[in-house]
Amino acid sequence: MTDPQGVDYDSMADEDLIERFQQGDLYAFDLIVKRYKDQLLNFVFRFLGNQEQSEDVLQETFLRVYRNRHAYRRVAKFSTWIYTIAGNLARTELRKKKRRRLFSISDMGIDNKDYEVSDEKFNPEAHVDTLLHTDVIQSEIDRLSPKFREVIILRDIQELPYDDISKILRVPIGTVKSRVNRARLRLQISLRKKLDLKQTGKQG
Amino acid sequence: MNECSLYKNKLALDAEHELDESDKLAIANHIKSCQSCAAKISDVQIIRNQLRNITKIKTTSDFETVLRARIQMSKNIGQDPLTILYKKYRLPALGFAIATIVATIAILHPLNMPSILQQSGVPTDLTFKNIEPLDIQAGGMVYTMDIIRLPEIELEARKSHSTNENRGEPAETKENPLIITSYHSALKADALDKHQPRRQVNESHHPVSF
Repeated sequence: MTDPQGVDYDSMADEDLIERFQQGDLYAFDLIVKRYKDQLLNFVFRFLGNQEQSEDVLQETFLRVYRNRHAYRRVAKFSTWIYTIAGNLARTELRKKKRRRLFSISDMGIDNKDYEVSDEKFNPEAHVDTLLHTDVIQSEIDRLSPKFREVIILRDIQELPYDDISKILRVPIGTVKSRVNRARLRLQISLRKKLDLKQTGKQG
Repeated sequence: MNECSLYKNKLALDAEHELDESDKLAIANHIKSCQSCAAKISDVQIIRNQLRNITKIKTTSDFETVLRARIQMSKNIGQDPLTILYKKYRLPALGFAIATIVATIAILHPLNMPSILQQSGVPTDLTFKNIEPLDIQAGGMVYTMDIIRLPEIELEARKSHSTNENRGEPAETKENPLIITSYHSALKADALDKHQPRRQVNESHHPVSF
């Protein structure tokens, strides 16, 4: 999109947008939100496993970007900065969630989504398969410890480069690679069993 | 097998297309004759595909509206007089609170207690310096007890005794309760502990008979 002054926002890098926002251009902030809201939501959602909580975390992430816009320095990639904020908030939320589960009898490790009426029946069969696989994969991701969970989401779902993941999590690249390998191995073992079982059950 | 260990850490990176050309070529040659390594690369590709194709979700339609409202609300909160006061004075208030706690701890610290007690007129030298043995004969047995003399406490007791005499009041044996407590508890503790005679009468001691 080009504004009346001839600024082509769409071709602007994220770093240019945040710079404009730092100078008071609120439209640049709107564009940042549009660019990042869905990919960040998927990152946080796969980490927390609950859409409502994930949207809250995402709202808080953008709110912090808005308030602390002047804390961003161009030496770092904007994506790394915003992922770090979202990741920190998601980890805090996960800890709160664990505490709530610990003290709440009604929760007992069962998510509300277990009671929601699934809309799988309204979708074509291929979509049902995808949803089925997604649910199984999500439940197995949930079983991973947070440090394995975040690397596997960032690397294999969000497809970020190792270098970026290393900066977001503030751990060496070697550690990221090793965690990714171990997380994949765990998922491979559990998913092989579960997806094979589902497949067999469906055929039967 | 040795050759496999050379490529062990590079198989996953090969599946992710993260290797340089020379490593890539070396692994391609290796897996021609090694099914185990080929299977490992395939496993990584499968799991990556499964994860990549996981259903993507989207934010709810009112996400941006809610965000704008929250931003506006946070601006309003920032202009609230209470918030301004809080922001302005929170650090001095925190500093004052910490200083008060540190001062309280410093004043009430056990190391400072003797001087505080001295100022309040309470005897403070509670170290049992003069321990004297006292032998008591009872029922044909001799019990030895340790009598603790606290010179400063005795002095305090004498002072209060002479003060009463100067007023023309009958001289009471007004003892500092601390002496009695210390003295008696020392006696009791020792006596309770020694139902059996501890040692024979020593010539230098002064036996007391009941």
